Amino acid sequence: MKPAPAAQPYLDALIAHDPFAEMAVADVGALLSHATVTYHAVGETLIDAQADVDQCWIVLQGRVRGERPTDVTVGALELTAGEMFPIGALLTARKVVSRFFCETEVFALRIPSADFLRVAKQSAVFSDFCNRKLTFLLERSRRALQASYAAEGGREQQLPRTLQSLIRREAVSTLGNVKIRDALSLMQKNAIGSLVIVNAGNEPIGIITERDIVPRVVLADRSPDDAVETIATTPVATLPAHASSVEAALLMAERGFRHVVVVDERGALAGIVSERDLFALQRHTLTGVSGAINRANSVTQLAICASDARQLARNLIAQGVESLTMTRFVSRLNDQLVRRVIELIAPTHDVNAGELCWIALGSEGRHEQTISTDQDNALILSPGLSQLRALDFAKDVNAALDQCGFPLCKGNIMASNPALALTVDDWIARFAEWTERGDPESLLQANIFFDLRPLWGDAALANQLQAQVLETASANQRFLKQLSDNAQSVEPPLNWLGNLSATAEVNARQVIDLKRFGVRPFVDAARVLALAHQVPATNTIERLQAVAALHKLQPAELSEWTDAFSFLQSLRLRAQERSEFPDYPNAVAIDALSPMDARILKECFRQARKLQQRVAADYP
Amino acid sequence: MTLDWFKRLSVGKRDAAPSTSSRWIVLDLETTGLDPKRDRIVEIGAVAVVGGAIELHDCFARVIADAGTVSAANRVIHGVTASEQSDGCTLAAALDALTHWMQDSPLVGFHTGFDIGFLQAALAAHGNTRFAKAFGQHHLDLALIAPMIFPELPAKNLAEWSGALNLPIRKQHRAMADALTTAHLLQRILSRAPSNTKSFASLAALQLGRRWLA
Repeated sequence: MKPAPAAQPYLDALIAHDPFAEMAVADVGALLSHATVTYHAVGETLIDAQADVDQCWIVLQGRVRGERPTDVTVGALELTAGEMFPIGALLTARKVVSRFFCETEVFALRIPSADFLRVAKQSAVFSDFCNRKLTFLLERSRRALQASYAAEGGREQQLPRTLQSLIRREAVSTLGNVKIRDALSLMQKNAIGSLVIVNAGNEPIGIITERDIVPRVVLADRSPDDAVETIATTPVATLPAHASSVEAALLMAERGFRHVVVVDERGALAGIVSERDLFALQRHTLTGVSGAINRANSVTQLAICASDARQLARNLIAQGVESLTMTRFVSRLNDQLVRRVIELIAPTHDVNAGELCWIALGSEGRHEQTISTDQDNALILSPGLSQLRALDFAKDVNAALDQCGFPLCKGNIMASNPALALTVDDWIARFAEWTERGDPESLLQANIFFDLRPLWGDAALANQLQAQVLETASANQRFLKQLSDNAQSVEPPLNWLGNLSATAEVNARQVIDLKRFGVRPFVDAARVLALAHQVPATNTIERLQAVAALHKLQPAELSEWTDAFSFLQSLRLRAQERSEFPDYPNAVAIDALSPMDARILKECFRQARKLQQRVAADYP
Repeated sequence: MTLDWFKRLSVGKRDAAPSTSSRWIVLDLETTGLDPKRDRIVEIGAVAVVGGAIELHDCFARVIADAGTVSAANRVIHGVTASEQSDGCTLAAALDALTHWMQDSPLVGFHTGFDIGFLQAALAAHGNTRFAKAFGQHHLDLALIAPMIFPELPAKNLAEWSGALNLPIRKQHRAMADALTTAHLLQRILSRAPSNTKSFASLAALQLGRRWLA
């Protein structure tokens, strides 16, 4: 529909803003088909709290503020040119919660709700924006970030991409019953380093690589007339063509592969992606670091690997790799490193994996490690093991980890602490004590120790402890209430205007501590929900997803919260990567935020508050 | 009112006028010059304001095809291109549609004497002498009223008012853009005017007073 001539100038102004910039012009025109333009003086109330709404407002010029009468500090919204309100009330046909009034003189566009709802129905972009504002903005921000890296040139190696787009040439394959000799000449002829073995349905069943030839053919003294399947690595790890390059990178890192076989939707061979295809320009590669950790024979070597891993993490963050993938990746490399350290030290103390379990706590326990992280670990001992011997061993491991760049924990939450090397029964007693007492100190301990995860040794010990702890905690309403109150104790840093407010001043810059004021409210709230519903997961996103799967959270809430958490983590990782305030790795300067990031950050803090309120509602 | 009977002839949605006494028409013309006797109308832009709100769908826009020779220098001023003009309608058709759409709604403009002079001359030239006389009988000229409401501002022409009051439309000298800017100026005037001076009649009285003073 062609807009009315009088609507055209306003349409021209709107399309500079999201979501109108992304919408079909006809849909924006339809939105304006019965619009009016009004002027409002400073202080004028546009919509009163608890009022019914019959129109959507769009700010043309000036600033409107939305305030919840019951909660003046945090619920505040600041709306400027191009922003709409009250979207939620219109979509759900309920009364508005906030009072909207003019902070400055305002020119506004008013759209009858019938037109708003009609366009929300016919324009996917518009409805996506209205329903998932945060997700929409994040997607725009991510695209902007990637565009800026692409513009830098030389770093155009973008992550994540689909594997389909990374397949360089057709994969060469052969059947398993072909002779080794023929298979090798096939590799020679095509100048390839790896050959996929397929079955009659062209489904990959194995792979051989150049590196396999010497140990498996020459040294194993095998006849070149044997079937090639006898020397192939089987089964072969595959990923679907729509998987992202990051998934391939993780698989390579975890398993030490240099190639990933890609299959189509029917499971048939689609191609091969090599590590080189993924990180053509990277000095430190994922498998390189991962392999080096596995091969390291001394703590000195591991310390070099650890520093390489950190460098690699920095490179990936700089390339804009998504934060959850990033923290998972950092956690996995760190897990691998810790396990290798323990493997090297355990024999020197005559400790074996069957008699104890090394557990990770805190962020490590949640798979949420960032670049800057100190040690949080403990031991579960099997009844027969001498605590003294375990402590000696743990002391060496803690020291070795310190050498690898994981500083000793200032609070002494480490396996070498005699209070933290206990049998399952003693641990259960400790947890019971915390849940019973519920004083601030106990809650602090609970926040660290409830996020436990086995890292090395007998995982059954950890699983036994966790099952018991979940049962006790979920049954103790008083404890859950205390934990819930504790999770409300951090106020998201928004001032009474709804703007970002500094949580500290560093080097005369106004900064926000993203860990304490951004990430922690999500982590704490997710923990309460997980404990209350006996969800064993420790990862914050997985906890929220599991609680949602039990129908205790709305899908829309879930996606807003996971998006907000993910953005806070990525901003935090970027802050750590830039390392602007070395003594405050989680601090970001407010004046250094781009307008887009500032807008999203505000929305994230509002989501943090919503999640806190959601948890508080369970424990009034 | 003189044009009342046009109501019954309403055709087409955009040109159909809701009959409400609070409906004011803000209008602007682009012309080939300043003399209503010699110069021609090139473009008409107008929008309805109801209760202080600009009704974007209740608007009127026509480019006039038979405006005679339009010089390049003149085109620079009003921005109506030759091809837009050749797609336009005749002045007679535009006048018919305009009077039909306006009905008895009073007129608001900036230097309304100019616009009314041109429209009366055109109506008369097309044989509508009766309507020509009545046209613009009730009108508000914001060029006269604005300085009384905002005596502290030195603005003279529409562009200066737009700048001084930070009005939202940036484009100028197209009939619709100027009509909308005039409508925004009206909104600012209504907002600042004393509560007993917000009606059409009281603003018209104010304007009359200003005229006597001048």
